[in-house]
Amino acid sequence: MDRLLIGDNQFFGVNHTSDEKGRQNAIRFSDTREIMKVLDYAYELGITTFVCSTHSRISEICDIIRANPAKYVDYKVYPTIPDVHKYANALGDLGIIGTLREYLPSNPLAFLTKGGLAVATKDFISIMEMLIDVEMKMFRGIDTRAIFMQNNITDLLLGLGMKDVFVGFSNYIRTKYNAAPGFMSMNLPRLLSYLRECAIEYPVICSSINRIEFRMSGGKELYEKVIAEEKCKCIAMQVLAAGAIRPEEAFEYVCKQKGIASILFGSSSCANIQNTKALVERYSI
Amino acid sequence: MIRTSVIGLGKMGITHLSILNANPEVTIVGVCDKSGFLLDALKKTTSFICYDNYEELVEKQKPQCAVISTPTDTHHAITKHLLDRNVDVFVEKPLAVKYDDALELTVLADKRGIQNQVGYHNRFVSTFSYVKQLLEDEVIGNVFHFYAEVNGPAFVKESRTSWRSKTTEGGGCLLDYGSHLINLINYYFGVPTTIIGSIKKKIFSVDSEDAVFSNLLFNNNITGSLSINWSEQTYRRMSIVITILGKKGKIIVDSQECKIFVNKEDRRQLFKKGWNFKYITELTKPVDFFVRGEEYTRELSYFVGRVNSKPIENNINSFENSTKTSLVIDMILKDAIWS
Repeated sequence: MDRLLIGDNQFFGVNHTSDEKGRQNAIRFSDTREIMKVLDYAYELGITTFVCSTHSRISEICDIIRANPAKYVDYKVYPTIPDVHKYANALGDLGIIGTLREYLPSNPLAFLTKGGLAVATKDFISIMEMLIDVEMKMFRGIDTRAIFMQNNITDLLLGLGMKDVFVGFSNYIRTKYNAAPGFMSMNLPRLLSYLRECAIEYPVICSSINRIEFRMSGGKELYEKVIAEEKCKCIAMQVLAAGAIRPEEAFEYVCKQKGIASILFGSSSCANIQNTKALVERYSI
Repeated sequence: MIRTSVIGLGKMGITHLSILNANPEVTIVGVCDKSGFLLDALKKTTSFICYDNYEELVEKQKPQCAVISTPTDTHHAITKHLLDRNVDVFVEKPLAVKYDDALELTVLADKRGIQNQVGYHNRFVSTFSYVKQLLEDEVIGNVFHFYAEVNGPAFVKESRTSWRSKTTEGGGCLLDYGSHLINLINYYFGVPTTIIGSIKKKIFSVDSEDAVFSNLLFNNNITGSLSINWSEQTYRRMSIVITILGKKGKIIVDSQECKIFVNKEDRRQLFKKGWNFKYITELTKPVDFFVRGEEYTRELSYFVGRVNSKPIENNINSFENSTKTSLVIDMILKDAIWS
């Protein structure tokens, strides 16, 4: 896994300190070519992994990557599934069965076979597998060597104690997609200990890790202890706490944590990407 | 361990269940939902004892407290049933569809001395609670006007079948998005004496309002304008912004940042003359367990704390406070014309 991974929040209006800035960015990146300019610049600097949601516009980016295999020869995309907004809205309006009807494969024959049977027999792991396939469809032909469970889902399931779902997700990602199962979470220490109970050893976990303890549930001290034990492949996100920490201090803090394998960052400008890369290189030595 | 049940497992209910199940002071003694499919999923993948009938759950499990996160039109009957059996209750917002029902529940809870709370989680969002403190400290002097708006994309397609478009089932933006905003207005400024010039609009709904615009007049010469729109397609999610104008300055607050303008240096707050900025990243402290937002863990920890210690006073999100929100919604509906 690369040291630096670029994320997609900044392209779709997500900003953790300012909705207003988020909306301005969403307007700026409403043309996918603007997103590609940023990703291409990062790629030229050697940042060859893009961690993204399954927002409908990601499929346009995937189309571009597929259409230019020579240009994106070693490009990797790490999807984060599912698109929770899509499902949350559908659940509110259509209920559970209605949502499954809406998103499970639309081919009536396919639904009657695998999907229909799974719903009728309440085979929830099969339903989950089919929903993973729906989310992964846009990435066909692209190198997705790690696939993440979205943090709202990870943390919800963690609280509910749904062991079988974690195990089912991990197994399916490994066998069907030949990829490493990853988990986004705001509860790194608790999640890691739970995954060990599920016999999921050395998992990939992407979590908010920063100098000011933002979104580090259970507290910074506990995080530092768990990270140092190196029991997972740890990816730090929200390193800058949405701009609350100066970049020098922010990257110095995460780079000095021995157990952090990679850093996921969001950036909408070339200067910023360059600066991030320089800082991570400087403090990682 | 506090014996706790969760009744209604929609988006909020399942979030509450996850957070409570991770709380070391709580033991979940039964969950309830009407969806057989969901209950089967929980039976197969968790250890929760599942019911499709809340009366049976209460009878058999005898919970000490319960979270009610069913559709709004069922809140009154379920809450009353639990209050009659001395169960402490946390009800998702709004407390009831009708003001009279909310009032009845408030009187009943107070008479019986039962812990009660409503899920107006914005009072547990650090930026909004910080502004409450700034107003109490009169950082911007006497407030004379505010603009309060909430926008989001909850309802952006024509639908005849969705509960959102049916007023009788708790649909309409006023009870949903609007109640969050009005609850914060109550928190900051109390209950208005008069509502004027209210307009409600259908954008995608058949029966209920998708946007409401209104003007609020308070006793102490404070006035405010409200703008509520849940059919705003350019927003990613529900977003509240409140701009408060005072004689000595101005505050603009949303769930992530707080911009404060003061016309002279404030040494108590360490504000310089001019604009000052506070972000959620510095105002909020981590919670023990996080699902979807710190505020959800905080509101439930607050509830569990009150169930444990049984205080009477200073309940930040009591039925009584929530009933003020229902009253204002009622006043707006009486004043409003369709446009």
